[in-house]
Amino acid sequence: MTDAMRSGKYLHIHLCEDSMLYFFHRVVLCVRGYEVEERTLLSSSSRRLLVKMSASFLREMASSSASSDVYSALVSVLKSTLTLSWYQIIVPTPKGYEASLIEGEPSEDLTPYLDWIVSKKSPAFIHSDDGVAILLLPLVFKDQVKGIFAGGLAGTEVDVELQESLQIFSYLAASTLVNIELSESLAEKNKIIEESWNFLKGLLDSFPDQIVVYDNEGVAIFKNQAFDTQKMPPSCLTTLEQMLKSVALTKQTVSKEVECENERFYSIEVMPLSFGENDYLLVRIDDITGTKELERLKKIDQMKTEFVANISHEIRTPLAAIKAYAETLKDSIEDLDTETLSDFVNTIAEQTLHLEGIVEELLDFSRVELGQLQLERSETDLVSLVKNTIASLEKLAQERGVELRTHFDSASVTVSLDPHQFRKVITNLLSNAIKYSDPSKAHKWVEVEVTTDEDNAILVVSDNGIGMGKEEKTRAFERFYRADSSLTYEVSGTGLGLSIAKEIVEAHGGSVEIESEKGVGTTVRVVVPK
Amino acid sequence: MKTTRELRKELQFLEELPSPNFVIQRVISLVSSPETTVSQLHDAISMDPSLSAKVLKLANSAYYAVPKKIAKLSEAIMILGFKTVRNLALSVFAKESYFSEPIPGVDEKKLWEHLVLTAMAGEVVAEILSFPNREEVFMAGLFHDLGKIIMGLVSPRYLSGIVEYARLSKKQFHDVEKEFDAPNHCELGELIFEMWNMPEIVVQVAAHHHDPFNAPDEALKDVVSMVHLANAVSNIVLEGYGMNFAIPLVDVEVWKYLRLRPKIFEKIVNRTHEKLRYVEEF
Repeated sequence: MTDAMRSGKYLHIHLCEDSMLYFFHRVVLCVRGYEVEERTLLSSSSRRLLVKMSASFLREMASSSASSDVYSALVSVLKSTLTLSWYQIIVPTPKGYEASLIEGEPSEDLTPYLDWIVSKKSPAFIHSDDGVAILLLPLVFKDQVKGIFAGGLAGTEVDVELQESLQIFSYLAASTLVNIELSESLAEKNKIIEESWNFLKGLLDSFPDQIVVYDNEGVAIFKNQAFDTQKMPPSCLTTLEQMLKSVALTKQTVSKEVECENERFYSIEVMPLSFGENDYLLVRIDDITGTKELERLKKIDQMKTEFVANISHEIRTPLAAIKAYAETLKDSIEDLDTETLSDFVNTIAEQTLHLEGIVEELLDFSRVELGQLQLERSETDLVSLVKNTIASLEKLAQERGVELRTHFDSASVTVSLDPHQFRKVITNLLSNAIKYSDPSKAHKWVEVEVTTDEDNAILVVSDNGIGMGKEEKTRAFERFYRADSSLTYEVSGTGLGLSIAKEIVEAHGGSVEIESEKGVGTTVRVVVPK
Repeated sequence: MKTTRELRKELQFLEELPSPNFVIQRVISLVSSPETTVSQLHDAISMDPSLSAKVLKLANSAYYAVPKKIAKLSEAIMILGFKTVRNLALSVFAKESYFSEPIPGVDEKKLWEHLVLTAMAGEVVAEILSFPNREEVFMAGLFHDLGKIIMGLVSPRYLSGIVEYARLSKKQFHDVEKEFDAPNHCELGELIFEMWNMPEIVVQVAAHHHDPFNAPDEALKDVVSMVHLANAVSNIVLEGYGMNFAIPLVDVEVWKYLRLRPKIFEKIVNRTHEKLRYVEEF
């Protein structure tokens, strides 16, 4: 029986051992959630005619699945079973009875019988005066009359079998009708569901974000269009997989920003999603490259503002001194003695040099920035270059109370480099080390070391100054960045020095590394190929 | 069952009780044969003019509400069907044989109304649950408690004892019978219908309408369950008429088997209630 139900595409009529009939209709069998009717029919006597009628009804219905076909199939079966002088199908509607499939003229007005047959709910033969009986066959299912077949019986003699068969057959036709109507309404519902799904999918597809849903076996069961079109680079997908694994375990929403090899930034958010009894993972991926770029530009803009303010300050200080001394000279040159005069002029010259240095640095920076840095290489002794530079910074060191120590592996290390440019590197590193000395320490020192290995000359400048934190360290080489960027001018400088130094070393084919710990000190290691 | 079989021997006078006469037996056998024509059944019933008249009267009753007056038995068979006419004949037989004279210990009028309403409720159940053979349910419902009247004829004191005890303790008739552990109305009904050669369905329903799932014939489970339900409904609508004095319960298995829902049950009760006014016609 169950096999018949499963296989059943069409109406099944089973003649069972106990001579009972069972039927099923295909529609019942393929509709989920609908209870299959299984009724034993106590009609052992009327099997033959009923089977014949059911079989021909089945043939009529085999090729169709529309509810409207049920009535024509019914008519055709009854036409072949009975001798009909006329017939019609009457359907009860809220507005009254509607006749269809009319053939011939009824021998009697049917109106008085219709309400009665609807409440009687079983077939009746009305005996009319002219000897032609009228068959009224209501199609009843679950206490509801779907339609009535009315027909004139010309010659057929009514016996028990005919009455019983018609009664059961009308039940069968009605349940077929109801089942087909049910499947039609389900098809209609499916259509609505599909439409709303398409609408939702359309919405999700129009999102710029990528949306994917994974089931708990890691299979993507939903992807929106953005996910399909914006191909994620492999490294991002690896990150995503790791995130999926951890979220599947922890059931906690996780979000991450990832930089990928295609120089784009993605924000990946993975959240657990429960739907019914199943767990899913919902992934939202957002391309945030634009936002990141904007953030970077904003930072640079802020740094430039700071730079301008800073540089103005740097330039104004020597300029003010020069201006003051020059004005004094102009107003009272005759009153001043030679000693004072020379003192004044020296200061002016000193400040001019300082100013020149700042301007020089700016020029260097813009040169580096424009890629116009040109090296004039010559075989240079790095040790004597370092010694000379130290000599020029001796005074600054004394002022700050910093001891300058040197350590050279050999008396001379010859390297092919641009001595003018490289001197700037050394000056910069040393002056930074001196400038950022730690005032809280009793003994302040800066040590310069020159060593070599097989291919490179190595210059190490270390100090016990204020040192840098992690973030400052990574940003130390950025243009305009100053450890003290708060415009308090505790330490003077343009913030360009280290960045220029790095450019120069890199132009020489070397590298700069920085090691630092806040409060302990900083070590800068410059490696230049020999 | 053993006691009942023994009882059969002892109670010879069961055979002396009114049993279906030749006409009724002929009607039953004709309706169960597929070849029977309208005129054959017409002729059979016509042999008993009193029965014919009573059947015709019932066919024209408000219960069937046929829009056209039925003048002949053949018309009744055409319009109402072979089985309905058979049921009418059976009802005439049952009423005349067992419910026309007072029986000690039984309010026979009320019991008859209980039987008729159970038969009608059975038709309602079949209609609502879309069971096509509703005439069979009607017939089985009409006879299901005939055992009670037989009991009254066999032992009026025993019956009135049960009824009295059931009334005082507010119990179901059948529960009291079980407590007494003597032959009960189900067994008596089964016995007498077997003697009369009544259709198997009548015998089984009489025997098992209180325990539908013990019916030996799987194929009859539908009808037995429906009569069980109809009996409960009839006891709700006409309280106490079936000599039950507790709230009738529908067997859980029957409830599941017939896929009942509270809404459907309510509908059955309400529709049966509407039929109440036709009970007198039978």
